[in-house]
Amino acid sequence: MTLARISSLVLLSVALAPWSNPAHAAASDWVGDRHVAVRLIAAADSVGAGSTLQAGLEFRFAKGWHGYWRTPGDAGVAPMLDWTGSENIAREEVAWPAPSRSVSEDLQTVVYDHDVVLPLTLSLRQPGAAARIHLSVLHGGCSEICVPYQADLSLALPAGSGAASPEAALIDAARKTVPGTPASAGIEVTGAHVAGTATGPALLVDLRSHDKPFAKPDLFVEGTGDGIPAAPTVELEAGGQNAHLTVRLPPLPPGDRPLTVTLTDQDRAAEFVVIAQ
Amino acid sequence: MRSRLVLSLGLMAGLSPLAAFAAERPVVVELFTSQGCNSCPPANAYLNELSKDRRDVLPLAFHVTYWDRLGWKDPFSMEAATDRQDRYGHRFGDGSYTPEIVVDGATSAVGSHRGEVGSAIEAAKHNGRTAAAVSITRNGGQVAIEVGAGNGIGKVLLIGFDHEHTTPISRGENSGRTLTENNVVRSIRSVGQWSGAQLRISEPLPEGQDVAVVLEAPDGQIVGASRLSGGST
Repeated sequence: MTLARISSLVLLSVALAPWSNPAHAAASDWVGDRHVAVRLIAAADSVGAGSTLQAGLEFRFAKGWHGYWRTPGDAGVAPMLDWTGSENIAREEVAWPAPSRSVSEDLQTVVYDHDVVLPLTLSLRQPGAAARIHLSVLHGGCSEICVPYQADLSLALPAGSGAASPEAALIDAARKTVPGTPASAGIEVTGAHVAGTATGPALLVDLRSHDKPFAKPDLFVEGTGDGIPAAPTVELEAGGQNAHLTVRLPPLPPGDRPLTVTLTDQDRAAEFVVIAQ
Repeated sequence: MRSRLVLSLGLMAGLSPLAAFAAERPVVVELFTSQGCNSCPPANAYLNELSKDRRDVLPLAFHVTYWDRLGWKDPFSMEAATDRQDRYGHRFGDGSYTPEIVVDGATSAVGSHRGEVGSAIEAAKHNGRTAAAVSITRNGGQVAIEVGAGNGIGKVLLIGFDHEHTTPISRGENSGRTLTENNVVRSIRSVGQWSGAQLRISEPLPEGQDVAVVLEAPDGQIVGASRLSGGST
């Protein structure tokens, strides 16, 4: 009885929302459980004249639970996104906020251990016309166990003024945590190359901070194979304004190979590419 | 014949027939795991210890497939493992996750919770159901399975498993890290239906270095078990 009454109240309030609240929520339902859940949000409550839509895939993790970055590491699984069923959307771009490193039983994994929004940029086929974001997400959430989740998320946006939704602030905040250029983080990469050492190849990176001193810089190196190399050894100089980082790499096949390097240091993050030769 | 002999021995020793059987068969400990799961190594280590140290349990590591489609291809994963865990998940109402340990088809726990699993094993040793004695012998490329007479019905499952695999963690850097896993299940299939009368089945050797047979009651509980080799690996 109580349950039925609650759900009819919810239905009623959902039905009333468009009239009672002019900037109505642009969000799908949460799908998941009390440990891990995911939903779609959009920065506007309707499709305006612009050629792209800003949206986000929001993950919620209970304390002690985590999900994975695009390159998850030795174990763990990156979220898999399937956009089939979307309408008026030509192309999707996913941005990945700076992750953190988790090491357990010698396994290196790259995780989000707090709530996170993956910002989405969706190109419209026909600006100004209604659109539907339909996203099937396969993802894993782990604590002392790992649970596979599948979420089918859908968010319809009518044609309209494209006014900001209440969720726009969440998406904007998430964009600020996506690694940008080193300069935008107040960091200069003064040297970056791959060299052979006694223990195999290593990536040597020299950094200078034009901002606050470095505290605990980490480098996530992608492009060396499926895994993620261990954390760098770090030498700080000049009161932490300069940092020399060394990452041991697995043997690399001959030829030029672009390595995507994501630098994180407390609340700063940057991404750059180093060509291993 | 043989089961009757066991029965009378049990009676002679002053034990109930049930206790005689219960002492005979190993407690079946099924671990559902995956190399793609970074919460699994502590549970794998626990199963490895059970495989080496305990003759009174039959530890079996089932590698599930649902992490494979998310990008980690576990070389030992099998759809049959995923399906088996899915049935347990529906029975226990806890869904599928890794690492999960199911003891005698009756109790489920997080695979790394040694205390909880250990208690479940002890409980199964003393109070577990045994419907019939099961024996396995090998004749060349065949296995002969015998399920004794008893009360109840059940499915006879033939399981092939490998004693030990060491897999390099190829996704990592070159520090030579490896993962050692014991009693890795390579095949499982139903080879017959037991309905109380003595049953003899001959089957080709299943895939895997060693063989186990499990008698599973309609409610999913394990009520009989045996392995081909003597015990610890």
